[in-house]
Amino acid sequence: MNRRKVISFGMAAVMTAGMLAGCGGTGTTATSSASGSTSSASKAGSYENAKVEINGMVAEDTDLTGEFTYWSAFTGDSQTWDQSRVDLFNELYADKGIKCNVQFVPDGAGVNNGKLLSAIAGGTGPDVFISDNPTSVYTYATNGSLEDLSEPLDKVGINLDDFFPGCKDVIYYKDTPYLIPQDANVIMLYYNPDIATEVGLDPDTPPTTLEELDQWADAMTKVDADGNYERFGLIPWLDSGNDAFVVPYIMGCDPYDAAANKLDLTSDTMVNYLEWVQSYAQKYNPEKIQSFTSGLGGMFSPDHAFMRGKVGMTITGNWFSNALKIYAPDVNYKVCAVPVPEGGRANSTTFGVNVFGIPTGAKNAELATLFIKFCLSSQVNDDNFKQWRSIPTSDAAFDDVSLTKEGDEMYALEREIANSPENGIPALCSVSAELSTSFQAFRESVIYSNADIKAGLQELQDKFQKQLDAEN
Amino acid sequence: MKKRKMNLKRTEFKHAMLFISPWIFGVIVFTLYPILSSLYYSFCEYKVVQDPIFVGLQNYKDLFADKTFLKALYNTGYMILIGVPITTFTAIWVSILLNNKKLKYTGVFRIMFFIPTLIPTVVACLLWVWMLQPDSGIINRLLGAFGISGPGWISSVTWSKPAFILIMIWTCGNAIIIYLAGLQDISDSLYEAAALDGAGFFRQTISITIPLLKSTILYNVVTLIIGVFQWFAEPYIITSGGPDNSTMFYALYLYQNAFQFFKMGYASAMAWVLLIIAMAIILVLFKVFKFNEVDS
Repeated sequence: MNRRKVISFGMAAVMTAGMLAGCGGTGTTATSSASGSTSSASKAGSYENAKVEINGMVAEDTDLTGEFTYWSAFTGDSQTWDQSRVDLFNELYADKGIKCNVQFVPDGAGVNNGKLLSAIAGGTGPDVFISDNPTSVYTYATNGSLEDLSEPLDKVGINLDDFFPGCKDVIYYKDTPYLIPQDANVIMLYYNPDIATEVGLDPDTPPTTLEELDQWADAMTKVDADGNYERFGLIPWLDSGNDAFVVPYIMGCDPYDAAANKLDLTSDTMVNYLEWVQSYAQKYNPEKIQSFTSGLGGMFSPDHAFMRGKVGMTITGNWFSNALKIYAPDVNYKVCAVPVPEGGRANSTTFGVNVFGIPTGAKNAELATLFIKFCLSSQVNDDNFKQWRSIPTSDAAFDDVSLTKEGDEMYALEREIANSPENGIPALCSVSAELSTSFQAFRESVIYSNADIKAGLQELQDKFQKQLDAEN
Repeated sequence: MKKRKMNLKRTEFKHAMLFISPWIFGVIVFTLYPILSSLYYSFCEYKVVQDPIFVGLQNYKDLFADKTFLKALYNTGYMILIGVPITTFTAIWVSILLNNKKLKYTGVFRIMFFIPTLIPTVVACLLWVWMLQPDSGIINRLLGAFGISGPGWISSVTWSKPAFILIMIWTCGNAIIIYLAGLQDISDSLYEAAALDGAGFFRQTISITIPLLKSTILYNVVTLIIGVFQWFAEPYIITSGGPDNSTMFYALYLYQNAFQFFKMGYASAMAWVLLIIAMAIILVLFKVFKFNEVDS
């Protein structure tokens, strides 16, 4: 008993000495707060415990120290923003000897071209990465390429219960957290109120059902005297080229049941969705549409069909607002929830997310998790939210966002949609990358080759269910 | 004396081995090992981060039940059966024209045909995307000047492959240079003799030029076919295999399986099937062109 007391006393003395040594250091920026003075045990003299405050942000109390590598998927403006975020982190934690070394790796942080997987297999992967392709990165979680984040998240105090329930589809694989969404995006219907008014529609009462959407599309479509299209109301697949199940999910499909590990690609809702897409292809001739739109630019170019007034409506994510702001500031637009058929998920969305992951064998998983926590804060993300109109991953965090404080109408709508209990991220499974690609190819064959929908879906269902069964 | 010679030979052999040992090491590690391991992986389910699981011939069985694989095979076959002959025909005729001594400024024309091969692939692809635009592209505008309504090219399931044949023809400058070298090896006396016998340009081309150019044609056709099997950058950049998989070529689908779906075993099986098909086609070509007879 006495020996225990002696050991306890000794340990307390060592801790106190350590704390005194830490507090006695010459802090640089030095807003020593109450919590700062009760900072955790440290290796005396190895770093400062005084809290550094930059732009209202304070470094976490931590024993950790060292450098870690971060692979970022961002390019262009987003790369500049991410670099500034890393710079802020490094400045904030410089006194603690913590440094993030960022590398900008195109193609989804090497997720889309196998670079990340090769690096992980070769033991040269980063400590943390962020990817804009959750569908592909989810397969990394299923094949054992990512670290279980339960413990590191607990240590830095990230509570997964705070996230929107819809985000949890991407966070967990078999009840284990592997991926952390930094932010989320909401899918909406963008429409041009000037075109609506021109054709006698009321832009203040946008379509809410699929029938109304079709009526709006027909009304907005304009044909010249020679029978050539001058404008389309809606091209359902215009901006969903790389999104396989985004619109089907909103329209009521549940392509994959994670609990049962069962695909359901042949449901009536899925058939109805593809029949709806096919009806547009048959009505307008898909090659004519493709010819018409391929001369126009992609989403981030001033030649996008919506920006040029060649299409009256398009279904896409909130990021399109930034594209409009940059490339077509004079184009008037409004947004509403995606109209759905009966049985669809009204006023809901699939969450488009940028996700953090920590590769298996990462040397500094704890530091990486600290960085993730830093990146999740609304203060850090505020510029990101302002520019892209993306949203936080929890409702509470909305209150700290400038757009909310400024009473931005569109952002309020995004928040409302984000809170729908029916939101989710569909079809994430061990074969999601291939399933997604195959479904997109099948949708193209429905559009361009008038493929048999039921037979094609059954074929996909059989092929991928077999793979899922074999892998589990 | 004999023993000394033997020792000298042995020493020379040792030195020779020492000198080529880096090459031998390189071949074993960077060529032989990957070839053999890909053969082994083709019989496995292999996802890079997990150990390979032996599945026998399953990957090969799955390949021939995979509709996208069959489509990729069809698309590649289309390019070999239609694109390669058209490109070869064009390259030969351009070379014959450029070899004509009556033609002035041949040097300028030769440079004009060769320049496209010097343009980086990505730049060339983006250039073609613009040129093939249905509404604003230069090709459809030219066709429009003749009253022809141009197709959707890369936007069209029907016209996407012919669009790639156009690109293939545009980049045949290398083949033209080789054909020109072959043409310059043909003795003028043969043409003079044929002219004395009353043979015109076409007769001379068919009876003298083409037969004597056989080995050059064989070389170019074989390299072109191998190039088609390896065709990746152009479809990846221009169409990503679409629309409706109409430009999903063999190498692109192999890449997808290996680096996007991480089915390395499946992709390895594709690589071995590719090797067998390419070898079979080339052996047939050697037979058709009577390669050995030409050489003899």
